[in-house]
Amino acid sequence: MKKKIMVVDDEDSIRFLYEEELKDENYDVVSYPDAQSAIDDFEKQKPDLVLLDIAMPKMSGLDALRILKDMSPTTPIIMSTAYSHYKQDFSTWIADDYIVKSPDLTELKEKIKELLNKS
Amino acid sequence: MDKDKIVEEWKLLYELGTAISLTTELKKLFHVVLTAVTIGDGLGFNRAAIFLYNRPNNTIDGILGVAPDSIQEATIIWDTLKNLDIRGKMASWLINEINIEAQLNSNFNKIISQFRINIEKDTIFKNIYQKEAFIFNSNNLGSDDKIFKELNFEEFAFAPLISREQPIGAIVADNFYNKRPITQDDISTLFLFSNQSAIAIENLMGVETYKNMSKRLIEEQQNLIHQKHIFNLGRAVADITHEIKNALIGAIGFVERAKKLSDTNQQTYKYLEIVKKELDRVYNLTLDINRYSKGQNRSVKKQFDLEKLILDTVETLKTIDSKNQNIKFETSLSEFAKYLYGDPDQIKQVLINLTKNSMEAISNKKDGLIKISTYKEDKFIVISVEDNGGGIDVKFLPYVFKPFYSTKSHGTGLGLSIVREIVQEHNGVINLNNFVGKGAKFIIKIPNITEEEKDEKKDNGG
Repeated sequence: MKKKIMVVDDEDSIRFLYEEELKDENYDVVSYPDAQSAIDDFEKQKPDLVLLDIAMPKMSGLDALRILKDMSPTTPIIMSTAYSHYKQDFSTWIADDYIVKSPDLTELKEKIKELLNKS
Repeated sequence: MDKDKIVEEWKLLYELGTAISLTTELKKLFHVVLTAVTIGDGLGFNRAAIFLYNRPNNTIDGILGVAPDSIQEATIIWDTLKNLDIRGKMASWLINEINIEAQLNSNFNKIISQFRINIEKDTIFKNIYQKEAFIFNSNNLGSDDKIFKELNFEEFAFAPLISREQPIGAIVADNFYNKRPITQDDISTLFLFSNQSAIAIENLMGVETYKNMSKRLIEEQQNLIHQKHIFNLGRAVADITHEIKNALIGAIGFVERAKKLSDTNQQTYKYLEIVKKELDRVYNLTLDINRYSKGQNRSVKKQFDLEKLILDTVETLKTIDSKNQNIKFETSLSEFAKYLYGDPDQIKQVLINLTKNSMEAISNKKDGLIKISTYKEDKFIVISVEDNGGGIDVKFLPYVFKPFYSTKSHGTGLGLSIVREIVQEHNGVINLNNFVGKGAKFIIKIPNITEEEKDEKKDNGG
């Protein structure tokens, strides 16, 4: 069965790019422009992995991270942001991995594969 | 002194005092005071000078000397003044008619304004502590009063400037040209006048200090405003860069996808390649700006294997070069510089930026060579990157580390600025040895901190 990835990012073009690229990798992709709607839909969708942007208006990715980990501690979550300094931020420690946004998705795809193989 | 003379003296002092109190500028006040001492209708001396006590240095400094330069000049001035009859209007004459320029240019003033002597070593100036005026001449002059010999003071009046019980300096005056002997009356009038002058001088010095202070405060304030502007500008740049970068991630991603969908023989494919190349260029600029702007890039320092980092980086750089020409890489890595305390990601960035620079410098050469060395020197770990690319044109040297300055058509001009930022962040220094016609060598020195020292720093709360 296809693995399902939940993409949360407020940037339309980036979200759409992730969708397209990950579908090409043979994943099911559900995407959300804000953290709250992703949380609301989480139980229904039961994704195998979440790709979560940090800098978003209203609810930030860091808040969403805690809520999602409460809901399902075993679902791997990859944080994604343009700022590399979050890597050292303790509030991202409960995330499973971290990527700096880039037009080259090779690293992201590798990390997704790795985490899905583990779980 | 008879009664008439006393009245005359008081009238005179009153007029001179009025002139002094109406002067609002310290520099001008010195001219007014000394002119009053030297004009015939004033105190009538031939030459006069003001010296001030420089408390922090414990010296007596010559401030201003007023005198005609020759007996001829003196005669002309006296004749002119005789015809003027300024009695009764002396105050306004002193304030408005003094030729400050001429007074400043006199030879006498040139010597006086150079004068400086330690007060404790001087037999004349130690008398500023006395509360009376003196006549000095060959009878009571010490042998070490060289400056007075240089100025040909034979007999002169010395009046301390005392304000609020404190000596602030002295007025010295003589009759160099007409050799009129100095009388006790002259001395007592001069002393009264010098007391008036001292109070005025001290007041205006206070005003001057206050003016300077408020000027400095204003400058300081403007500085702060400027810094705030720069800070805001920096933040604005970071925000804008972030937006541009995000937009480009989508754009580049989709151009890449569009390329995959189109036939490589099609015009569309070529066009998309050009679009991709241009977008990449702007994207790389945003990355450089991010690296350059502080705060976005807090370094995480630790002890790491510098040797391994250099060897790995060289391998990566070789692959970049593979499509280029045969650049040879040489490494000379000392075992004493195997480990470095710093941020490995940042040091890698430094190596990449410097090496890329070297690669560009030798891009048109055949036997290109880049040599990376490490060694230990005193308390520093030294990393150097050297090439044989002909060196940097001397005219560009002042701009080498300036941001946004590039001699290349495609550079962002941030490469070396980032290098310098990172080196500074590591408390290190960067130097450039430029051999015009041969090559350039960048030398980086970073303090060698061992694990123990690092722990000590932590313990001390550093």
